[in-house]
Amino acid sequence: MAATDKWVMTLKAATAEPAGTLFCFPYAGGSPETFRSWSGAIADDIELVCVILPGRGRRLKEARYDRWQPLVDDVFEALSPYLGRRHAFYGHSFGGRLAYELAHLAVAEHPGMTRRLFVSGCRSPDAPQNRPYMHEMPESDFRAAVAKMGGTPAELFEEERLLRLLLPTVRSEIRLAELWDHRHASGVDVPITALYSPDDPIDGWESMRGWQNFTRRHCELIEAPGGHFFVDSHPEYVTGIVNTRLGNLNG
Amino acid sequence: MSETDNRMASETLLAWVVDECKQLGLRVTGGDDDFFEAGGTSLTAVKLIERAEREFGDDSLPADELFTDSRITDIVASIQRNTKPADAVTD
Repeated sequence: MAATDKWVMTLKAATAEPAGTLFCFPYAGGSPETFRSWSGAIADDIELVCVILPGRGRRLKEARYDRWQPLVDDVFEALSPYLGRRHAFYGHSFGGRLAYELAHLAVAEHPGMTRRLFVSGCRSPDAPQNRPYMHEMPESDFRAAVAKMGGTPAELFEEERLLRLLLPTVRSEIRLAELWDHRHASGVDVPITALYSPDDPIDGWESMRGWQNFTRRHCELIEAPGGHFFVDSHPEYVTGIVNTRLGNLNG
Repeated sequence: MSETDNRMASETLLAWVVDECKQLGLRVTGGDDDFFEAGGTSLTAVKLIERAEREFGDDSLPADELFTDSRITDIVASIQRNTKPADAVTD
């Protein structure tokens, strides 16, 4: 993975062959931090890569997306050079939706290479979106709602300058997540592992069990500990599941 | 400041930034490292900014500059650019 590619950050190289790549898609406003904590626990033959969208880190000043199609097309174009080898996608919440959309394109362009789609804390395409929409809230209500979701460190809320820099990206990705709806004629030809927390007030079992209808292969629904942000709070648990499923990445 | 003074100030500042980043837990060794690739996060960015301001004055390291030009040498340049003369780094 080229170090100069602004779309991807390699968090951990594969140290065993044959290698496969796990592409990770963070939640709204998220960054590689989440998946960096996975590095020590991910299997040796997996290259761990985080996808980086405009609006954070070095890409802070780049224009964000307000429509799904251009976002998916541009991310796919950026990842295409890397998708000719065996790989899998992991997406949490907003990232799950993006990963699913990409899986459709990847299967069409590079058949047989997308070994698995992991979605966590992410409703199935046919599950209703929670209301009221966060993305339409005035700033103070929006901040309160973000704080309540629990994924943001409390200290960050004390930094007005940083909030003003980072919250617009959170809002624009939450907006895409909230407006996301089912648009494909059929399910994706990739097995799905869907992880949910029963303590997730946003998207728990009820809104995730429909994922089985969106794959032509096997779908498993697995319970995880923690709240909505279990990807952050329980990395060992999640990577344990990822490793066993990807044990067959090259099989 | 003479050219020699400038160079020494830059080196001192570079050493300061590298050291602060290390204290924040980043895997930084020199000027070519990138803050975020070395493990920097939004939170550690805030802490670095706070330390810069304590050392060099208000707004000496603007957040948006840190995020967009996040190599250590860029951070050094940003502090130099934004530090008012009374708080400037001297040897």
